[in-house]
Amino acid sequence: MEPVVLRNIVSRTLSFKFKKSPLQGFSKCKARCLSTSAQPQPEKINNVCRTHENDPRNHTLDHVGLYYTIPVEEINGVLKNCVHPWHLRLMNTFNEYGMMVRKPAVELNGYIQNVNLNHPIPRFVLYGRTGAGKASILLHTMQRFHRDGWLILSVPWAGRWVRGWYKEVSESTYKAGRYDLPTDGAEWLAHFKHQNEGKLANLKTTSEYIWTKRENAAVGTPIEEIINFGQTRIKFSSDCVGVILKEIRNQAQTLGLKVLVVVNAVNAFYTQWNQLNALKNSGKKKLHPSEISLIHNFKKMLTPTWTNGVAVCTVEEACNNLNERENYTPLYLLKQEGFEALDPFVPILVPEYTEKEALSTINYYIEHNWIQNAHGRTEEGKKEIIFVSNNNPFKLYQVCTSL
Amino acid sequence: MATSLSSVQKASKIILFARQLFYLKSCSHTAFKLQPCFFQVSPMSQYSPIFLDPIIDKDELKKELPENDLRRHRPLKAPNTDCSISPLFYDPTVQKFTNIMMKSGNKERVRLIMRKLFENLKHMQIARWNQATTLEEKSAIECDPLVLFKTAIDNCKPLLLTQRIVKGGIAYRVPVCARPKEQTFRAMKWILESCRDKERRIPMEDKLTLELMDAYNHQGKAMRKKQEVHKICESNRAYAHLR
Repeated sequence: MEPVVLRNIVSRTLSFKFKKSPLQGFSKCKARCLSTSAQPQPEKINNVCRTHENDPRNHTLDHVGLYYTIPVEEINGVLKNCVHPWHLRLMNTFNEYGMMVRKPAVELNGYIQNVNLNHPIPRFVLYGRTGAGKASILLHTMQRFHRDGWLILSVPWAGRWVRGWYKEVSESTYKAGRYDLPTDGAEWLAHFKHQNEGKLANLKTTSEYIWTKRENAAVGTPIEEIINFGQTRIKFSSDCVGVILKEIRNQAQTLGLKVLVVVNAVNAFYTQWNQLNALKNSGKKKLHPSEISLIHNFKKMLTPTWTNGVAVCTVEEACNNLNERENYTPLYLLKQEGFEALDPFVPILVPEYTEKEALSTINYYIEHNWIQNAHGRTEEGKKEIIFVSNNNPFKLYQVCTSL
Repeated sequence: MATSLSSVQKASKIILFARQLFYLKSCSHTAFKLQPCFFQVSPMSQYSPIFLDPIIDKDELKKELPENDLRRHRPLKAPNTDCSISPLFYDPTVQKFTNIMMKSGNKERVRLIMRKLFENLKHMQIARWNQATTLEEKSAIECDPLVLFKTAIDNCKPLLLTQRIVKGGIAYRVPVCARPKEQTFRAMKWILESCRDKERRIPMEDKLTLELMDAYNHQGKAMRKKQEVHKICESNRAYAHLR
């Protein structure tokens, strides 16, 4: 019995490894099989990897797997600090800011477009393996709704707020038992201001805020002034973030704002780091994320207590302790507490590349001279790259770096 | 059954013959020209001589073994981890360089450095390539990291090396021709040494990138080292007959 089983396994692996069928790429000409006399060359057909539809608002399922270009202004504007460093470096080298249209992105954009904004905010959670492209999908969504004039509140990496060595942690100026991260708060304020340039003019405070005996913000202070205050007096930056978020929540409906809340690695808000990595206060006590005022404020943005907004989050394995990374599903990563806080939400799986998408990426690399190895440019080599990378987008990039 | 038995007997005879050859070879210092393929025994090999080499070629692997093939009856060596069948990830020069750079068996780390080194080289050249406007400029830029790497090492290869020879109680540094293996070894070693001299805070891959690009353009520390050695050989040419 045993050898038969073994042979089965071996033959299956071999059939996967040495796939006989040619790679199926994208074709320009749909009806190429109709005429036998003028058959187009298969190699050229397979090399299609880009679409000329550069407006993310017009992307449909037909564009899935194809690359489109993002203008530089948006990379340096709305998407600043949100692109992975390796991705940005690659884009700079190519002298072109190209990104792939993925199916979950089109799906997510469709959902958000058709959502009824008068209801309490819906929440979407993107989940998938490490390197599957969750953050890239956030980029696509942010770019798309930025063009529609939405206000964007994004946290590029929530894990930044819960760990770090030699980071300044101070008692909250607003409430005892809570802790501020002055530099991170100021950084976020700058990020927020940069992302939403020209959209904050109408926003004004609706109540008075007293910072100290001498400093206060009267009713009707523009939000931009509060941001400037938070950046200059970074002791109060976390409170300023709280104020801005509160004002946006309260005024979204009255002012007719549309708000997109984007949190990358939302599970950092709910899971406790171990003793080594967690932030500690001056008494060396390790802090739970809910004790940090920035996170406390941002959690309120994820509750369905306000309208005219949408929250999109991702869950990342990298934001959990090393022994808690077995699975990539939301329930496992968020744990009971986080799951209950976000429930009900729409989970969206971000799968790894299909064969077409992987091939499209390789062709895009070849087009930009990135794959130099002569064997890597042949069909056999492409197959091998896809096999070695196991269809994982980040792995694919890593494999192609040394070729 | 009978046929297979006879083939086993044949095989054992061949082994015996091979062993005799092996002893002959180890006793006499003259090089043995005739070497059957299963008789390539390195003196430090962990395997006994009856072990045969594994098949690594992809196409050959798919074919069935012939009826009287020795590999049906004899144990095989395990394939080497470094030796990949794919031209994508395997190159003998790169592998040699990796092994020279490695410290205390930490090959995974060195491989990572090599990967990042190639990435850096590509980023450097392809950014230039993309910014170049005319075809002439573009064709002048070498983008293949492997070619860059190999050319840099070729540029650092010395033609002559000095050998210490004692004659009449005096040690002379005698210039000798460098063998090809020695040439590559010295070139690689000089490149690595010049990187290890530099500041420790800079990652190894970044230092290597700069050094290799320098060597590619006939500049840099390793290049100067080679010229120094050549100069010593030139000044000691009078001792050349002592070799």
